[in-house]
Amino acid sequence: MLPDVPSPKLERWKYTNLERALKKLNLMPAALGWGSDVKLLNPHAPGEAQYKDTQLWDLNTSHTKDIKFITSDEIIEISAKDGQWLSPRLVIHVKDGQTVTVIERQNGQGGYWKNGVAQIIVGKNAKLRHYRIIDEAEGAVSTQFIHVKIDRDGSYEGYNHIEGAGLIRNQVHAELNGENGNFSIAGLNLLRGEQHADTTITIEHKAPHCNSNQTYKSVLDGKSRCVFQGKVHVHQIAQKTDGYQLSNALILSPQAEMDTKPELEIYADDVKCSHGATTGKLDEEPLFYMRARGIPEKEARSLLITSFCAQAVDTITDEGMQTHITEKLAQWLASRT
Amino acid sequence: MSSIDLETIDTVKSLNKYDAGFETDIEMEYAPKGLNEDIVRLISKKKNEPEWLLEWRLKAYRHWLTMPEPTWAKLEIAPIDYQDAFYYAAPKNMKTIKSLDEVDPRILETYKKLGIPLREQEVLLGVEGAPLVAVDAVFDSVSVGTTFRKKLSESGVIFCSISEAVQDHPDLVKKYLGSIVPYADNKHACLNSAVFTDGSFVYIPPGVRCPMELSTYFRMNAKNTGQFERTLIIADKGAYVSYLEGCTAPMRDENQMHAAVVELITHDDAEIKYSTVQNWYPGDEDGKGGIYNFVTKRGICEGRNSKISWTQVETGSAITWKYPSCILKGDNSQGEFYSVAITNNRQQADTGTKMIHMGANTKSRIIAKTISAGRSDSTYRGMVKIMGGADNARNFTQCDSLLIGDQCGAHTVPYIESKNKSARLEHEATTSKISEDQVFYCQQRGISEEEALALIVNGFVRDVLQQLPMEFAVEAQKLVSISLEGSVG
Repeated sequence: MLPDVPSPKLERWKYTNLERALKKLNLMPAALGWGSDVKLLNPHAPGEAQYKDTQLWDLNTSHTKDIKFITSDEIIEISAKDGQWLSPRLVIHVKDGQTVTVIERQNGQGGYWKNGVAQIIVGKNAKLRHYRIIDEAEGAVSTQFIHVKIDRDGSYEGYNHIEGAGLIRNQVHAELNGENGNFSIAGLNLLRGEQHADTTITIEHKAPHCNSNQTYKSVLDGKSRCVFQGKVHVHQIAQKTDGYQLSNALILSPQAEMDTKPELEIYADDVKCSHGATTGKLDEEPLFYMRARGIPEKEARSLLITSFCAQAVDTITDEGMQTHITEKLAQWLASRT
Repeated sequence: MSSIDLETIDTVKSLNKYDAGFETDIEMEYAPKGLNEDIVRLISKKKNEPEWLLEWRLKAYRHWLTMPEPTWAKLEIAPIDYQDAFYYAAPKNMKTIKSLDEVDPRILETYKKLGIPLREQEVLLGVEGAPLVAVDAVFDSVSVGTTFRKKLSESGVIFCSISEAVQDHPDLVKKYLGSIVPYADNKHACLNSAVFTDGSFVYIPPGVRCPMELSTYFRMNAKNTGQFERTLIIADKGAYVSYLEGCTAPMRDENQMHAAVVELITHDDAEIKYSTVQNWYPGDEDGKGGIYNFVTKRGICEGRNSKISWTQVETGSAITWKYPSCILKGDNSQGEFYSVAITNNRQQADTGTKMIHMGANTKSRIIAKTISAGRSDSTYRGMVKIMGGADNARNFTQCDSLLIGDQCGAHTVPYIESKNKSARLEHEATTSKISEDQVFYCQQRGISEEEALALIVNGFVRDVLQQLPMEFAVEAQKLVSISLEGSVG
């Protein structure tokens, strides 16, 4: 009774085997009770032919019973129960000139599958701050597809805090459609046990003078596996693009695995695009330095990991949220054995 | 023809900026057009090959029939009609040649025109004190001669064409052929395994540092032929060799196929340095004609402390599909990849490398510079993979792209996979255009725009050109400027 899902044979799903993870679960379609009497902005998955992995989007469209339409500040909590197959849909529309903050908390209990879609439109000179805190149950599978359209002078600030699910695929597709748009996304992947987290970001620059920025930090413990695939696609019209992408991974355990695929596809000549990706372990020297000064090893390690993550956390412009995330990080580190 | 006509032809030719585009008029012997088992058998018979090699070829051919075309690269390739080509073409009366003096003078003339000295005394009479280079010249499907054999054999180095090696050193060939690139590796390598005609074979015995640079010069001359060469280089314990490869072809309107396979093996403490300057005919401004360059190159650092270094300058070919790779199996082994890929007009290039780290303390370094101009498209596609056992593995990758004009594209597709905690990987990539400030600065000082461009581009690719042996570096530098001519203003 499982639906067709993308297989690792597809290039964009190379590192993530969704089917295998779903087979372990016993699922029934369920609803959160939001109701679905809102007109969908876009029932069909967006993107050009080359990004056509739209199966999950279409699956959400055909199964969703929970649609939420958001135009002002809101905190949303999406909790799932054992055995549920949820298809929540968020439609966020920030009207011209407005600033909106949306906080999304995702959690649950037992084994379940969330196949969520968020459609986001940022109007002219509008700004959206979109903070997502994803802390799903160990046995859960989560597939998230976020599509963002940004109009002229519009700005999107995203932060994704992922402490996991059993398997999570967080897929973001952004289109900068008007001049001087700005898309910035940052995130932390804090993984342990046998968790698998896949972040796949595609940014299409379709207008001149736009900026995009990706800052991702991943900390891998246990037998976890983390995937980061980020792509910046600069169309020919998008002159004066400034695109930057950073993915740093810290591997703490011998069994963890990191797969990175940072891509650039560029058709305009007057642009500045770059990416940096590193994978490595904790530096022993500062650790020694701190221990020599009486800081216990565990604490010293935590300090180093905190500073490693700081660059992503610092992108959060909302102070309250930044403090909250710093606390979440400290909690995660304290719970390490 | 009157002298005016000749002059006009010369002028037109020089306008096209592909100096190696002439054709040598020579009687050729062809195998019948098309591809089938009989052709494979015929090639094998022509080469007087042992039974095992024919079997291997046939196995490859049968497997090839079942394989799909690789489509994952970012290339637009018109469907290839494999039946519309000759798979064997050799200058007539080649068989009985004992020394270079017997080679058809027109062939020697061809190489002379390309600046490749085939007569040993010419090399000696040239610049005094210049480093010696031994050359294996491959003309369409056969090797026409190898220089400095005697001198090389004194130190125990075997340098000959692969067909000769099959006859003279069957054990070595049987042991290593297909051991790194198995026939079923990919469609193009599979076709090569079935119909390969010639190429170079190098064996450096233990402890020997090859006394001179070895080089192979590939020339495609005959119409409608595909060139399928196979190169096998083995460096035994503690050996060292530097090997150079050059390629050119006449200008023609139809596409010609070049599907080569190169295999390198280094044992303990050995090192192979492999340099390529690829200048196949790239097609005209509208993308008509040109060579399809589908090459599988792979080396294995089998022993401890061994090293393989690939350096390539890719300026030619209508389509380039090439990923020289290193399997770092021995502990402490090193792999290097230095590449400059330049595309202009309608050229397409999808090139990069694979570094597979298996042994402990293995190191790899990738420097790839891509320049796109005109309406061309070029892609860097690479993979760095750290296996569980590769403790303390280290990788550094840098990919820089330069775009000239707004009709071209440059792309970077790296795969970075780490399964080892102690490994350290770094990857950097940038894309930019030539800075107007730099051009302005040069122009202010009386340097024309084109010259300024050449200057800046040469600076951009310097890190890679420095890795080339001296003779090649000069040639490569010239090629870089020529390839980009006409891309400004």
